[in-house]
Amino acid sequence: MTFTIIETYSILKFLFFTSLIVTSFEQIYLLKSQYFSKLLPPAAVTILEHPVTLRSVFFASIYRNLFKESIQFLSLIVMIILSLFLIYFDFNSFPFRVVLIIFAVLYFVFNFKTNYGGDGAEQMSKIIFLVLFFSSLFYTVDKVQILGIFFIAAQVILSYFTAGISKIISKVWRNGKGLKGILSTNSYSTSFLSQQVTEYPKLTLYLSWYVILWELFFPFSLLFNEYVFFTLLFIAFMFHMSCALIMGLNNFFMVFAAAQICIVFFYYNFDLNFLSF
Amino acid sequence: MIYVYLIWLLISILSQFNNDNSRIIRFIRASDKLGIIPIWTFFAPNPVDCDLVILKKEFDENMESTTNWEEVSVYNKEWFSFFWNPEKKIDKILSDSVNDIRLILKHFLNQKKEANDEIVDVSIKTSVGYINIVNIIKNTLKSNDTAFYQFTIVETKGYLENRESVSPLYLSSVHKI
Repeated sequence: MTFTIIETYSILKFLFFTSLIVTSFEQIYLLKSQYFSKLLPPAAVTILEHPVTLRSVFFASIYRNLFKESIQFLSLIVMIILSLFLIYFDFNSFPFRVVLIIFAVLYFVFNFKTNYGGDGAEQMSKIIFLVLFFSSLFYTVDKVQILGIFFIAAQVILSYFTAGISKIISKVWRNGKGLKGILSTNSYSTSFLSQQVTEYPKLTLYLSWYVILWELFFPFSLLFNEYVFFTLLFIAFMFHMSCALIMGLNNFFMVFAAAQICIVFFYYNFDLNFLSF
Repeated sequence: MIYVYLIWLLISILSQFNNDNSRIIRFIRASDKLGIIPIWTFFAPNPVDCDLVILKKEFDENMESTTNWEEVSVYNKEWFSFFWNPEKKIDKILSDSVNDIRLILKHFLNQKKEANDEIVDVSIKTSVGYINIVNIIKNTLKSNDTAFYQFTIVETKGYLENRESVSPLYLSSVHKI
């Protein structure tokens, strides 16, 4: 199972913009919800706290108006429409590049870094988006497009390996209590699972080590044959899917599924000579 | 372009080290305004093991309570949450906001000199986290007669129907609407 670079980008952009459409609809829902209305989005808080904005009444008023509910609503609708165009247009086509540039402005204005409400899916989304952006701008250079895919793959590998290291150095992960804690919460578990982890404490111990070992060994699977690589990639896919099913982390699943396509391309095409300057 | 990706990857690797004392890491995190330098730890090394619950109480003009302590429930997972789950964002904002308060309390607790209560109170009330919580609570007030409200944040362990323990984290002063 191997893809050409254009096929890889086509699948990547399809999955990525589909996840952005879902996220945008979720944000529209939140704008209209009881709890979120009148609450500035985290990105706005970050900008409003920025020294430039704090010092200047002029900039502060621009940003306040920018984050008015009606403007946010309109921007989200425009982003959904643009996402549909971006899914439809061919990756290397001229319309794709034009729409992507317009989209980039909106995407970064409303997605500044924030200390509130951010997660791993958001981080990976920004990485994928920037790679799509650079690769479509430098569309005449194949090498740039291939490097972009390698870069996303490297970030995914880094993410699993870092997570594995962070878990193995943690006592509560090694003894299974960390996972038991997570699976006992209302936010990240289900009624059924919380009962199971209480009744069968060994279950979380085994599951913890299963996750730790998979995360640590995933990068090395790239050195082995297809059976080993695809088995570990399948576990990765199932891990993200279970996070969506159990924890409700829907965009974590969608965005990482998009990123996993890049790993497949990386596995078949990576060559150290490619990095020669 | 290869240099851009290589430097980006190198900075990403560096920022995985959870060392806030390092000047380089602090600089990287402060400079990353777009949020493109990731931290990939996925629930580690200290995973969440409790839920944060916010309770509020409403008062009328005469400071008579019009409600009991009631839970501000902002997050309910549904069977379709694997595909559609907008409220997880509010839950995460709330938990990050409570973390703000927790960090301020921890900061003052770790100080050698005992902090003035008023300074602690002002520091908490002017934090973005506190303002986020107040904004969310204001949207949940029920009665038109409500003139004041108060909230408390508690940590609970165990799933909804089997909550085992509850420990209070913070009790706000009474706010005027």
